[in-house]
Amino acid sequence: MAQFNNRWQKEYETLFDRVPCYVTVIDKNFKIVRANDAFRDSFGDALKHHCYKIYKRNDRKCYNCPAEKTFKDGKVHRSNQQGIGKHNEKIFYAVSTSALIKDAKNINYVIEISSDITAMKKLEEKVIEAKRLSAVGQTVAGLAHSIKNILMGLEGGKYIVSLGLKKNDQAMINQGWEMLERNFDKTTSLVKDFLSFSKGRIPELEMVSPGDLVLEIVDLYKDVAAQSGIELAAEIDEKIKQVPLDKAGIHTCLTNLVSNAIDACLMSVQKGNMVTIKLSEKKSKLIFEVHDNGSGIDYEIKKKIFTTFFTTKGGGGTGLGLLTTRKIVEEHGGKITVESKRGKGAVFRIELLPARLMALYKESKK
Amino acid sequence: MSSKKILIIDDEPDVVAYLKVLLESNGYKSYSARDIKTALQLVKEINPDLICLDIVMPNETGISFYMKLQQEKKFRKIPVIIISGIIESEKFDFHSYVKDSSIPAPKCYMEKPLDIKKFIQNIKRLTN
Repeated sequence: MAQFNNRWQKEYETLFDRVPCYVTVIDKNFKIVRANDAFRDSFGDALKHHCYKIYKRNDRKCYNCPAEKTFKDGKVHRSNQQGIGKHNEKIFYAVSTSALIKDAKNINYVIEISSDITAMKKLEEKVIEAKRLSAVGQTVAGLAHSIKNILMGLEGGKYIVSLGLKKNDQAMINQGWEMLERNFDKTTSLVKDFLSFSKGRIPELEMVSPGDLVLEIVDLYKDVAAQSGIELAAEIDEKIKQVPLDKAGIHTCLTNLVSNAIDACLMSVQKGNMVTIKLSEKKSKLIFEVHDNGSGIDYEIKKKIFTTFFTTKGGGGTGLGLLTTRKIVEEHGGKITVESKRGKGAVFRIELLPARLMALYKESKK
Repeated sequence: MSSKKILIIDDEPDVVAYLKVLLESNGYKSYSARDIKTALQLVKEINPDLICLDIVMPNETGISFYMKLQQEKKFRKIPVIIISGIIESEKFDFHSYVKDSSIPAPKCYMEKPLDIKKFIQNIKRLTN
Protein backbone atom coordinates (compact mmCIF):
# COMPACT_ATOMS: atom_id res chain seq x y z
CA MET A 1 0.00 0.00 0.00
CA ALA A 2 2.78 2.37 1.01
CA GLN A 3 4.55 1.53 -2.20
CA PHE A 4 1.34 2.25 -4.18
CA ASN A 5 0.90 5.61 -2.47
CA ASN A 6 4.52 6.48 -3.13
CA ARG A 7 4.07 5.71 -6.80
CA TRP A 8 0.96 7.92 -7.10
CA GLN A 9 2.63 10.72 -5.20
CA LYS A 10 5.57 10.55 -7.58
CA GLU A 11 3.27 10.61 -10.57
CA TYR A 12 1.43 13.64 -9.24
CA GLU A 13 4.67 15.40 -8.53
CA THR A 14 5.89 14.69 -12.04
CA LEU A 15 2.61 15.93 -13.43
CA PHE A 16 2.78 19.07 -11.26
CA ASP A 17 6.34 19.78 -12.36
CA ARG A 18 6.09 18.84 -16.00
CA VAL A 19 2.77 20.47 -16.93
CA PRO A 20 3.58 23.22 -19.49
CA CYS A 21 2.20 26.16 -17.52
CA TYR A 22 3.16 28.00 -14.39
CA VAL A 23 1.66 26.42 -11.28
CA THR A 24 2.08 27.85 -7.79
CA VAL A 25 0.28 27.33 -4.51
CA ILE A 26 0.10 30.33 -2.21
CA ASP A 27 -0.98 30.68 1.40
CA LYS A 28 -3.15 33.35 3.00
CA ASN A 29 -0.15 35.66 3.40
CA PHE A 30 0.41 35.46 -0.36
CA LYS A 31 3.57 33.44 0.17
CA ILE A 32 4.43 30.76 -2.37
CA VAL A 33 4.47 27.34 -0.77
CA ARG A 34 4.86 25.31 -3.93
CA ALA A 35 5.99 26.10 -7.46
CA ASN A 36 6.48 23.84 -10.45
CA ASP A 37 9.48 23.45 -12.77
CA ALA A 38 8.06 25.69 -15.49
CA PHE A 39 7.55 28.47 -12.96
CA ARG A 40 11.06 28.11 -11.52
CA ASP A 41 12.54 28.08 -15.03
CA SER A 42 10.98 31.42 -15.85
CA PHE A 43 10.80 33.24 -12.50
CA GLY A 44 13.61 31.58 -10.45
CA ASP A 45 13.49 30.23 -6.94
CA ALA A 46 10.27 31.23 -5.28
CA LEU A 47 9.50 29.24 -2.17
CA LYS A 48 8.48 31.21 0.92
CA HIS A 49 8.58 34.48 -0.95
CA HIS A 50 5.54 36.69 -1.58
CA CYS A 51 3.97 35.91 -4.92
CA TYR A 52 3.86 39.60 -5.94
CA LYS A 53 7.60 39.86 -5.22
CA ILE A 54 8.38 36.91 -7.46
CA TYR A 55 5.88 37.47 -10.25
CA LYS A 56 6.29 41.23 -10.50
CA ARG A 57 9.00 42.36 -8.03
CA ASN A 58 6.35 44.39 -6.28
CA ASP A 59 6.37 45.15 -2.57
CA ARG A 60 2.63 44.97 -2.24
CA LYS A 61 -0.30 43.02 -3.57
CA CYS A 62 -1.10 43.50 -7.22
CA TYR A 63 -4.02 45.61 -8.34
CA ASN A 64 -7.00 43.42 -9.20
CA CYS A 65 -5.37 40.29 -7.65
CA PRO A 66 -7.41 37.20 -8.62
CA ALA A 67 -5.97 35.12 -5.74
CA GLU A 68 -7.26 37.64 -3.22
CA LYS A 69 -10.74 37.28 -4.70
CA THR A 70 -10.54 33.49 -4.50
CA PHE A 71 -9.48 33.67 -0.82
CA LYS A 72 -12.59 35.80 -0.24
CA ASP A 73 -15.25 33.90 -2.18
CA GLY A 74 -13.74 30.49 -3.00
CA LYS A 75 -14.58 30.94 -6.68
CA VAL A 76 -12.37 30.70 -9.73
CA HIS A 77 -11.01 34.06 -10.91
CA ARG A 78 -9.08 34.96 -13.99
CA SER A 79 -7.01 37.88 -15.14
CA ASN A 80 -4.24 38.86 -17.52
CA GLN A 81 -1.07 40.13 -15.90
CA GLN A 82 2.39 41.28 -16.77
CA GLY A 83 5.37 40.01 -14.76
CA ILE A 84 9.16 40.10 -14.80
CA GLY A 85 11.15 36.93 -15.48
CA LYS A 86 14.41 35.97 -13.81
CA HIS A 87 16.39 37.44 -16.72
CA ASN A 88 14.50 40.74 -16.34
CA GLU A 89 12.36 39.99 -19.38
CA LYS A 90 8.67 40.95 -19.61
CA ILE A 91 6.36 37.95 -19.24
CA PHE A 92 2.66 38.27 -20.04
CA TYR A 93 0.50 35.57 -18.50
CA ALA A 94 -3.15 34.67 -18.22
CA VAL A 95 -3.75 33.45 -14.70
CA SER A 96 -6.64 31.60 -13.12
CA THR A 97 -6.90 31.02 -9.40
CA SER A 98 -8.94 28.48 -7.47
CA ALA A 99 -9.15 27.16 -3.92
CA LEU A 100 -6.76 24.24 -3.42
CA ILE A 101 -9.41 22.31 -1.51
CA LYS A 102 -12.80 22.52 -3.14
CA ASP A 103 -15.72 23.67 -1.00
CA ALA A 104 -13.50 24.25 2.07
CA LYS A 105 -15.03 26.51 4.71
CA ASN A 106 -11.84 28.42 5.23
CA ILE A 107 -9.62 28.77 2.26
CA ASN A 108 -6.02 28.52 3.36
CA TYR A 109 -4.38 27.84 0.02
CA VAL A 110 -5.01 29.02 -3.48
CA ILE A 111 -3.58 27.39 -6.59
CA GLU A 112 -2.53 29.72 -9.39
CA ILE A 113 -2.22 28.32 -12.90
CA SER A 114 -0.89 30.65 -15.57
CA SER A 115 -0.23 30.31 -19.29
CA ASP A 116 2.52 32.32 -20.85
CA ILE A 117 0.91 34.62 -23.44
CA THR A 118 4.02 36.69 -24.19
CA ALA A 119 4.22 35.48 -27.80
CA MET A 120 0.55 36.34 -28.31
CA LYS A 121 1.05 39.78 -26.77
CA LYS A 122 4.01 40.43 -29.06
CA LEU A 123 1.88 39.49 -32.04
CA GLU A 124 -0.82 41.83 -30.78
CA GLU A 125 1.75 44.62 -30.48
CA LYS A 126 2.81 43.97 -34.07
CA VAL A 127 -0.81 44.22 -35.23
CA ILE A 128 -1.22 47.51 -33.34
CA GLU A 129 1.99 48.82 -34.92
CA ALA A 130 0.75 47.82 -38.39
CA LYS A 131 -2.56 49.58 -37.69
CA ARG A 132 -0.67 52.64 -36.50
CA LEU A 133 1.38 52.72 -39.68
CA SER A 134 -1.73 52.42 -41.84
CA ALA A 135 -3.27 55.25 -39.81
CA VAL A 136 -0.18 57.34 -40.59
CA GLY A 137 -0.69 56.58 -44.29
CA GLN A 138 -4.34 57.60 -44.12
CA THR A 139 -3.36 60.71 -42.20
CA VAL A 140 -0.92 61.78 -44.88
CA ALA A 141 -3.52 61.16 -47.61
CA GLY A 142 -6.04 63.14 -45.57
CA LEU A 143 -3.62 65.98 -45.07
CA ALA A 144 -3.07 66.13 -48.82
CA HIS A 145 -6.84 66.40 -49.28
CA SER A 146 -7.16 69.30 -46.82
CA ILE A 147 -4.26 71.10 -48.45
CA LYS A 148 -5.80 70.62 -51.90
CA ASN A 149 -8.99 72.31 -50.74
CA ILE A 150 -7.04 75.25 -49.34
CA LEU A 151 -4.98 75.47 -52.53
CA MET A 152 -8.20 75.63 -54.52
CA GLY A 153 -9.29 78.58 -52.35
CA LEU A 154 -5.94 80.34 -52.77
CA GLU A 155 -5.98 79.72 -56.49
CA GLY A 156 -9.51 81.11 -56.68
CA GLY A 157 -8.49 84.22 -54.74
CA LYS A 158 -5.53 84.75 -57.00
CA TYR A 159 -7.64 84.37 -60.14
CA ILE A 160 -10.33 86.78 -58.95
CA VAL A 161 -7.79 89.42 -57.83
CA SER A 162 -5.96 89.31 -61.15
CA LEU A 163 -9.20 89.45 -63.13
CA GLY A 164 -10.32 92.39 -60.94
CA LEU A 165 -7.05 94.20 -61.67
CA LYS A 166 -7.43 93.59 -65.38
CA LYS A 167 -11.00 94.92 -65.37
CA ASN A 168 -10.19 97.61 -62.84
CA ASP A 169 -13.07 96.27 -60.74
CA GLN A 170 -12.47 97.14 -57.05
CA ALA A 171 -15.32 94.96 -55.77
CA MET A 172 -13.85 91.98 -57.53
CA ILE A 173 -10.36 92.71 -56.18
CA ASN A 174 -11.83 92.90 -52.67
CA GLN A 175 -13.68 89.61 -53.11
CA GLY A 176 -10.53 87.82 -54.28
CA TRP A 177 -8.41 89.38 -51.55
CA GLU A 178 -10.83 88.25 -48.82
CA MET A 179 -10.69 84.76 -50.28
CA LEU A 180 -6.89 84.80 -50.15
CA GLU A 181 -6.96 85.97 -46.52
CA ARG A 182 -9.51 83.36 -45.49
CA ASN A 183 -7.48 80.54 -46.99
CA PHE A 184 -4.25 81.75 -45.43
CA ASP A 185 -6.06 81.65 -42.06
CA LYS A 186 -7.22 78.13 -42.84
CA THR A 187 -3.63 77.07 -43.46
CA THR A 188 -2.70 78.40 -40.02
CA SER A 189 -5.47 76.53 -38.24
CA LEU A 190 -4.75 73.35 -40.19
CA VAL A 191 -1.09 73.45 -39.20
CA LYS A 192 -2.03 74.13 -35.57
CA ASP A 193 -4.51 71.26 -35.45
CA PHE A 194 -2.08 68.99 -37.22
CA LEU A 195 0.67 69.72 -34.73
CA SER A 196 -1.59 69.00 -31.77
CA PHE A 197 -2.68 65.81 -33.52
CA SER A 198 0.83 64.61 -34.27
CA LYS A 199 1.97 65.02 -30.67
CA GLY A 200 2.00 61.35 -29.77
CA ARG A 201 1.90 61.14 -26.01
CA ILE A 202 1.05 59.01 -23.03
CA PRO A 203 -2.04 60.34 -21.29
CA GLU A 204 -1.24 62.38 -18.17
CA LEU A 205 -3.56 60.67 -15.75
CA GLU A 206 -4.98 62.40 -12.70
CA MET A 207 -7.96 61.61 -10.50
CA VAL A 208 -10.90 63.42 -12.09
CA SER A 209 -14.63 63.42 -11.51
CA PRO A 210 -16.05 62.63 -14.96
CA GLY A 211 -19.39 64.18 -13.92
CA ASP A 212 -17.72 67.53 -13.17
CA LEU A 213 -15.94 67.35 -16.53
CA VAL A 214 -19.30 66.90 -18.30
CA LEU A 215 -20.78 69.86 -16.41
CA GLU A 216 -17.78 71.99 -17.42
CA ILE A 217 -18.48 71.24 -21.08
CA VAL A 218 -22.18 72.06 -20.66
CA ASP A 219 -21.20 75.41 -19.10
CA LEU A 220 -18.80 76.10 -21.93
CA TYR A 221 -21.31 75.43 -24.72
CA LYS A 222 -24.71 76.26 -23.30
CA ASP A 223 -24.69 79.89 -24.52
CA VAL A 224 -23.53 78.98 -28.02
CA ALA A 225 -26.20 76.26 -28.16
CA ALA A 226 -28.95 78.51 -26.77
CA GLN A 227 -28.15 81.23 -29.32
CA SER A 228 -28.92 78.71 -32.05
CA GLY A 229 -32.06 77.50 -30.30
CA ILE A 230 -30.49 74.20 -29.26
CA GLU A 231 -31.01 72.79 -25.80
CA LEU A 232 -27.85 71.39 -24.21
CA ALA A 233 -28.32 69.02 -21.28
CA ALA A 234 -26.37 66.54 -19.16
CA GLU A 235 -27.47 63.20 -17.70
CA ILE A 236 -24.96 62.06 -15.12
CA ASP A 237 -24.95 58.87 -13.09
CA GLU A 238 -24.25 60.35 -9.64
CA LYS A 239 -22.75 57.08 -8.39
CA ILE A 240 -19.66 57.53 -10.53
CA LYS A 241 -16.68 58.52 -8.43
CA GLN A 242 -13.28 59.81 -9.44
CA VAL A 243 -11.45 58.04 -12.27
CA PRO A 244 -7.88 58.52 -13.54
CA LEU A 245 -8.17 60.43 -16.82
CA ASP A 246 -6.11 62.83 -18.88
CA LYS A 247 -8.34 65.76 -18.07
CA ALA A 248 -7.24 68.03 -20.93
CA GLY A 249 -7.48 65.11 -23.39
CA ILE A 250 -11.00 64.04 -22.46
CA HIS A 251 -12.01 67.71 -22.35
CA THR A 252 -10.84 68.03 -25.98
CA CYS A 253 -12.78 64.88 -26.95
CA LEU A 254 -16.02 66.10 -25.41
CA THR A 255 -15.72 69.62 -26.83
CA ASN A 256 -15.11 68.12 -30.28
CA LEU A 257 -18.15 65.86 -30.01
CA VAL A 258 -20.41 68.56 -28.58
CA SER A 259 -19.41 71.14 -31.18
CA ASN A 260 -20.01 68.53 -33.91
CA ALA A 261 -23.41 67.74 -32.40
CA ILE A 262 -24.33 71.44 -32.41
CA ASP A 263 -23.24 71.72 -36.06
CA ALA A 264 -25.35 68.65 -36.90
CA CYS A 265 -28.36 70.35 -35.27
CA LEU A 266 -27.70 73.54 -37.24
CA MET A 267 -27.77 71.50 -40.45
CA SER A 268 -31.05 69.89 -39.49
CA VAL A 269 -34.33 71.21 -40.85
CA GLN A 270 -36.46 70.22 -37.88
CA LYS A 271 -37.09 72.36 -34.81
CA GLY A 272 -36.59 71.48 -31.12
CA ASN A 273 -32.98 70.40 -31.48
CA MET A 274 -31.24 68.95 -28.49
CA VAL A 275 -27.77 67.82 -27.52
CA THR A 276 -27.35 65.62 -24.46
CA ILE A 277 -24.13 64.46 -22.83
CA LYS A 278 -24.69 61.25 -20.88
CA LEU A 279 -22.31 59.72 -18.37
CA SER A 280 -22.89 56.18 -17.19
CA GLU A 281 -21.15 53.04 -16.02
CA LYS A 282 -21.95 49.64 -17.49
CA LYS A 283 -20.09 46.32 -17.14
CA SER A 284 -17.12 48.12 -15.50
CA LYS A 285 -16.90 50.51 -18.43
CA LEU A 286 -17.11 54.27 -18.08
CA ILE A 287 -19.27 55.57 -20.91
CA PHE A 288 -19.53 59.11 -22.23
CA GLU A 289 -22.20 59.61 -24.88
CA VAL A 290 -23.06 62.68 -26.91
CA HIS A 291 -26.57 62.44 -28.35
CA ASP A 292 -28.06 64.82 -30.87
CA ASN A 293 -31.23 64.87 -32.93
CA GLY A 294 -29.56 66.76 -35.77
CA SER A 295 -28.99 65.90 -39.39
CA GLY A 296 -27.45 62.46 -38.85
CA ILE A 297 -24.72 60.85 -40.90
CA ASP A 298 -24.76 59.02 -44.23
CA TYR A 299 -23.45 55.47 -44.32
CA GLU A 300 -20.72 56.45 -46.81
CA ILE A 301 -19.52 59.17 -44.47
CA LYS A 302 -19.85 57.10 -41.30
CA LYS A 303 -17.31 54.62 -42.66
CA LYS A 304 -14.56 57.19 -42.75
CA ILE A 305 -15.22 59.84 -40.14
CA PHE A 306 -12.69 58.48 -37.67
CA THR A 307 -10.03 57.61 -40.18
CA THR A 308 -9.28 60.51 -42.45
CA PHE A 309 -9.26 64.25 -42.39
CA PHE A 310 -12.87 64.17 -43.15
CA THR A 311 -15.01 67.25 -43.13
CA THR A 312 -18.49 67.94 -44.38
CA LYS A 313 -18.50 71.44 -42.96
CA GLY A 314 -17.31 73.16 -46.11
CA GLY A 315 -15.29 76.16 -45.06
CA GLY A 316 -15.72 75.51 -41.35
CA GLY A 317 -13.72 72.38 -40.58
CA THR A 318 -10.21 71.05 -40.88
CA GLY A 319 -11.36 67.44 -40.57
CA LEU A 320 -9.14 66.80 -37.58
CA GLY A 321 -11.64 66.88 -34.71
CA LEU A 322 -12.78 63.27 -34.77
CA LEU A 323 -9.36 61.99 -35.73
CA THR A 324 -7.86 63.71 -32.68
CA THR A 325 -10.73 62.48 -30.52
CA ARG A 326 -10.18 58.89 -31.60
CA LYS A 327 -6.47 59.24 -30.96
CA ILE A 328 -6.98 60.53 -27.39
CA VAL A 329 -9.53 57.82 -26.62
CA GLU A 330 -7.16 55.13 -27.92
CA GLU A 331 -4.32 56.57 -25.86
CA HIS A 332 -6.60 55.93 -22.88
CA GLY A 333 -7.01 52.32 -24.05
CA GLY A 334 -10.68 52.98 -24.85
CA LYS A 335 -12.76 53.01 -28.00
CA ILE A 336 -15.10 55.38 -29.77
CA THR A 337 -18.11 54.37 -31.83
CA VAL A 338 -20.95 56.10 -33.63
CA GLU A 339 -24.55 55.22 -34.32
CA SER A 340 -26.46 57.32 -36.79
CA LYS A 341 -28.81 57.44 -39.72
CA ARG A 342 -29.32 60.34 -42.08
CA GLY A 343 -31.98 62.63 -40.66
CA LYS A 344 -32.17 60.67 -37.41
CA GLY A 345 -29.47 62.32 -35.29
CA ALA A 346 -26.39 60.62 -33.93
CA VAL A 347 -24.84 59.10 -30.80
CA PHE A 348 -21.08 59.22 -30.33
CA ARG A 349 -19.94 56.88 -27.57
CA ILE A 350 -16.59 56.83 -25.77
CA GLU A 351 -15.96 53.71 -23.68
CA LEU A 352 -13.11 53.67 -21.17
CA LEU A 353 -11.93 50.98 -18.77
CA PRO A 354 -11.40 52.54 -15.31
CA ALA A 355 -9.66 49.39 -13.97
CA ARG A 356 -7.07 49.57 -16.71
CA LEU A 357 -6.63 53.31 -16.25
CA MET A 358 -6.19 52.78 -12.49
CA ALA A 359 -3.43 50.24 -13.18
CA LEU A 360 -1.72 52.72 -15.52
CA TYR A 361 -2.17 55.50 -12.98
CA LYS A 362 -0.58 53.42 -10.20
CA GLU A 363 2.23 52.46 -12.52
CA SER A 364 2.88 56.14 -13.28
CA LYS A 365 2.98 57.03 -9.58
CA LYS A 366 5.78 54.55 -8.82
CA MET B 1 -25.90 82.40 -79.44
CA SER B 2 -27.13 82.46 -75.87
CA SER B 3 -24.51 81.48 -73.27
CA LYS B 4 -24.46 77.96 -71.94
CA LYS B 5 -25.80 77.37 -68.46
CA ILE B 6 -23.48 75.72 -65.96
CA LEU B 7 -24.60 74.54 -62.53
CA ILE B 8 -21.92 74.49 -59.80
CA ILE B 9 -22.59 72.17 -56.85
CA ASP B 10 -20.13 72.58 -53.97
CA ASP B 11 -20.58 73.29 -50.27
CA GLU B 12 -17.41 75.37 -50.06
CA PRO B 13 -18.33 79.04 -50.67
CA ASP B 14 -14.84 79.93 -51.91
CA VAL B 15 -14.94 77.19 -54.55
CA VAL B 16 -18.37 78.37 -55.71
CA ALA B 17 -17.19 82.00 -55.90
CA TYR B 18 -14.07 80.99 -57.81
CA LEU B 19 -15.86 78.78 -60.35
CA LYS B 20 -18.56 81.43 -60.89
CA VAL B 21 -16.01 84.12 -61.73
CA LEU B 22 -13.95 81.69 -63.81
CA LEU B 23 -16.95 80.49 -65.85
CA GLU B 24 -18.52 83.90 -66.30
CA SER B 25 -15.27 85.48 -67.40
CA ASN B 26 -15.15 82.76 -70.06
CA GLY B 27 -18.62 83.59 -71.33
CA TYR B 28 -20.77 81.06 -69.47
CA LYS B 29 -23.81 81.70 -67.33
CA SER B 30 -23.42 80.13 -63.92
CA TYR B 31 -25.77 78.95 -61.19
CA SER B 32 -24.81 77.45 -57.88
CA ALA B 33 -26.13 75.20 -55.14
CA ARG B 34 -24.45 74.34 -51.85
CA ASP B 35 -26.47 71.22 -51.14
CA ILE B 36 -28.07 68.40 -53.09
CA LYS B 37 -31.68 69.36 -52.43
CA THR B 38 -31.26 72.86 -53.84
CA ALA B 39 -29.22 71.42 -56.70
CA LEU B 40 -32.03 69.05 -57.75
CA GLN B 41 -34.54 71.91 -57.70
CA LEU B 42 -32.24 74.08 -59.82
CA VAL B 43 -31.72 71.30 -62.35
CA LYS B 44 -35.50 71.21 -62.88
CA GLU B 45 -35.78 74.99 -63.06
CA ILE B 46 -32.91 75.84 -65.38
CA ASN B 47 -32.13 72.58 -67.20
CA PRO B 48 -28.35 73.28 -67.27
CA ASP B 49 -26.03 72.41 -70.14
CA LEU B 50 -23.37 71.07 -67.76
CA ILE B 51 -22.92 70.36 -64.06
CA CYS B 52 -19.74 70.79 -61.97
CA LEU B 53 -20.10 68.47 -58.99
CA ASP B 54 -18.19 68.11 -55.73
CA ILE B 55 -18.22 64.70 -53.99
CA VAL B 56 -17.90 65.38 -50.27
CA MET B 57 -20.79 67.48 -48.97
CA PRO B 58 -22.88 67.54 -45.79
CA ASN B 59 -25.99 65.35 -45.58
CA GLU B 60 -25.79 63.91 -49.08
CA THR B 61 -22.75 63.26 -51.23
CA GLY B 62 -22.20 64.27 -54.83
CA ILE B 63 -22.37 60.60 -55.82
CA SER B 64 -25.87 60.41 -54.39
CA PHE B 65 -26.86 63.50 -56.46
CA TYR B 66 -25.42 61.89 -59.58
CA MET B 67 -27.45 58.71 -59.00
CA LYS B 68 -30.64 60.76 -58.61
CA LEU B 69 -29.86 62.65 -61.80
CA GLN B 70 -29.46 59.37 -63.69
CA GLN B 71 -32.91 58.24 -62.59
CA GLU B 72 -34.58 61.07 -64.54
CA LYS B 73 -34.60 60.40 -68.25
CA LYS B 74 -34.77 64.12 -69.01
CA PHE B 75 -31.61 64.94 -67.08
CA ARG B 76 -29.55 61.84 -67.76
CA LYS B 77 -27.87 63.45 -70.76
CA ILE B 78 -26.55 66.50 -68.89
CA PRO B 79 -22.76 66.09 -68.84
CA VAL B 80 -21.22 66.09 -65.34
CA ILE B 81 -17.69 67.08 -64.38
CA ILE B 82 -16.68 65.80 -60.97
CA ILE B 83 -14.37 68.24 -59.20
CA SER B 84 -12.93 66.88 -56.00
CA GLY B 85 -9.90 66.80 -53.77
CA ILE B 86 -10.36 63.16 -52.85
CA ILE B 87 -9.81 61.71 -56.29
CA GLU B 88 -6.87 61.43 -58.57
CA SER B 89 -8.46 61.99 -61.95
CA GLU B 90 -6.55 59.31 -63.87
CA LYS B 91 -7.06 56.61 -61.28
CA PHE B 92 -10.65 57.29 -60.33
CA ASP B 93 -12.89 54.31 -60.99
CA PHE B 94 -16.53 55.33 -60.66
CA HIS B 95 -17.80 51.76 -60.71
CA SER B 96 -15.72 50.83 -57.70
CA TYR B 97 -18.05 53.20 -55.79
CA VAL B 98 -21.24 52.52 -57.67
CA LYS B 99 -21.74 48.82 -58.27
CA ASP B 100 -24.61 49.24 -60.75
CA SER B 101 -22.85 49.01 -64.13
CA SER B 102 -25.97 50.21 -65.99
CA ILE B 103 -25.29 53.69 -64.62
CA PRO B 104 -22.80 55.45 -66.89
CA ALA B 105 -19.74 57.02 -65.26
CA PRO B 106 -19.57 60.83 -65.21
CA LYS B 107 -18.07 62.37 -68.34
CA CYS B 108 -15.04 63.94 -66.72
CA TYR B 109 -13.04 64.23 -63.49
CA MET B 110 -10.96 67.18 -62.39
CA GLU B 111 -8.76 67.31 -59.34
CA LYS B 112 -8.63 70.23 -56.91
CA PRO B 113 -6.82 72.61 -57.31
CA LEU B 114 -7.95 73.07 -60.89
CA ASP B 115 -5.90 73.17 -64.03
CA ILE B 116 -7.77 76.19 -65.46
CA LYS B 117 -6.80 75.61 -69.09
CA LYS B 118 -7.87 71.98 -69.05
CA PHE B 119 -11.03 72.83 -67.15
CA ILE B 120 -12.18 75.38 -69.73
CA GLN B 121 -11.23 72.99 -72.56
CA ASN B 122 -13.35 70.26 -70.97
CA ILE B 123 -16.30 72.62 -70.50
CA LYS B 124 -16.08 73.67 -74.16
CA ARG B 125 -15.83 70.07 -75.36
CA LEU B 126 -18.76 68.86 -73.28
CA THR B 127 -21.14 71.73 -74.01
CA ASN B 128 -20.71 71.64 -77.79
